[in-house]
Amino acid sequence: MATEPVATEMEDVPPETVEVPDRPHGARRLWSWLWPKLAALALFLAAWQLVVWSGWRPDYVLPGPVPVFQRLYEDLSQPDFYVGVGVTLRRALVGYAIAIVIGSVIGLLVARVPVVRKAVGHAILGLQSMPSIAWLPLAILLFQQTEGAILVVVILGAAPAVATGLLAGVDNVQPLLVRVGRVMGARGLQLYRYVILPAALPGYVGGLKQGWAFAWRSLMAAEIINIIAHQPSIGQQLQFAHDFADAQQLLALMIVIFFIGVTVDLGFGFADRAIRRRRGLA
Amino acid sequence: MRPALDARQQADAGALSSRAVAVERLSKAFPHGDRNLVALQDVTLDLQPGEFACIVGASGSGKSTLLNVLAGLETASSGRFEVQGRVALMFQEAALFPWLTASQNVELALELRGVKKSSERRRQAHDLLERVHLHGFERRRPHELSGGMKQRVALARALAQDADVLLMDEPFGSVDAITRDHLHEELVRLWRASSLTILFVTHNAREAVRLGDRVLVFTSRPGRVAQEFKIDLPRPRSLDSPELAVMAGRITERLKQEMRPDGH
Repeated sequence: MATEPVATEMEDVPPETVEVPDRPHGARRLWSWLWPKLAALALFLAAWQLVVWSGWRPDYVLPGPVPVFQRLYEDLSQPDFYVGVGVTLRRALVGYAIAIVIGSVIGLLVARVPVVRKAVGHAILGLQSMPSIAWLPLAILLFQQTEGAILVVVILGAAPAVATGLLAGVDNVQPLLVRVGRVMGARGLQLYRYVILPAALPGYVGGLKQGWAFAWRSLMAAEIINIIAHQPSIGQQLQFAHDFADAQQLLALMIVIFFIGVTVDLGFGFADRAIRRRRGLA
Repeated sequence: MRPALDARQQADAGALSSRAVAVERLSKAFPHGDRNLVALQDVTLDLQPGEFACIVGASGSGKSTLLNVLAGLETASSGRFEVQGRVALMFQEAALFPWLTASQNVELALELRGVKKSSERRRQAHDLLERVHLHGFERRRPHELSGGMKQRVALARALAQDADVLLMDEPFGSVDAITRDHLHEELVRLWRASSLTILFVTHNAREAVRLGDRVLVFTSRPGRVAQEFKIDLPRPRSLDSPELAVMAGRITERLKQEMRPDGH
């Protein structure tokens, strides 16, 4: 069989009419995506309940899932709760946005300027492996107990990952594509705009995703330690729950933190898959 | 097929010779360990405007290096060359941009060439894809196309550069024989309908005879033009014709002489 029929035949048989085995869609696809997660959740809740029933720790230290979810439900009807979530999300978004700008600029500079790469290429990787919360004491000295100190920690947590992702993306661009771009007449910045940056997008998105994870972690750590008056953030409420030995509230807040992190991560997962599918990589 | 000469080409026309490509004693060496690896040595060749010339040589004979130098991707170590007008280069792999559709790949070439209006780019891309028989595939992405179709898009993209000289580096080396035969036909058809000058590199003597007005046999390491064959067979040519086979046989014989007894 010819792998490529002549053109006229191709026109006679529009590719759309070729029968493709049915891809499961709609509710069934959602269900096949959802049920393993629900099963894992059920297992986790059961294990939690068993530990509580075993009497390993008293109820007021380790409450079971039922009172914790009841507490979460009550929290969700309190306006204060949303103020806290709002404060935390605002910090996350502002810090993350600044980290994206700084990380992208640094990543591009390292990728494009050899001397910058030699100078700070390794430092960025080192910075990435350094727990960003280690910056908090210094940040508090510099910015006192303000949101600025928290943002510094978030930015230092996320920016290296963003820079590394962009750098890896640029470094992994197929040299052949760059040559094609040059043959087509793209030079300098044009080459970046039309060839290198689009080709680097999957790596960049990977860096953004990792950057978010670092930003979220750093933010929680910073909020727990650096408590600012009249700013009822999630981290602060977590710390207060601990101070008042309110284990139900503590666990309810942890569920919220987990939920926000997972939701954003899912968004990145969808974006990543969409990009890969478009390019035939998935 | 191509519009009248633009200003740049008119200015060039006086300065340059009447040859589309002129290469004079061109050499290229790469540093390799502590010595130099000579890829090309004293290559001299001329292409007349509108000519279709093929270079045949064993792998590693510097054929690709020559095209890269002519396309401006690498610099020569010594010697001179002149290429009249715009140059396009097609590679063995289609090397389409995977994030763009077939049409957008062509449109990008048009944009970089200076076609300002996006509606104009779309229209021209549509026409170019039609010329390579890809009507209806404008919105496909590269991974949704077969190997032969990808090369057609690459050809349309090269044509979009409105080149005067088209350099082709074993562009059909990775497609199956039947598809290759179709692509040969279309390439010759497009070439005859235009004033393109084509320099086509291959290791396949039959392919060279099928396509070229002239076949240059390259030596291996360093690459040099060993012999030139004029191909006077009438067009359209068939790969299966006995005359073509005889000619290809002679070229293959010459090629074997050039490959070192211990060669690779």
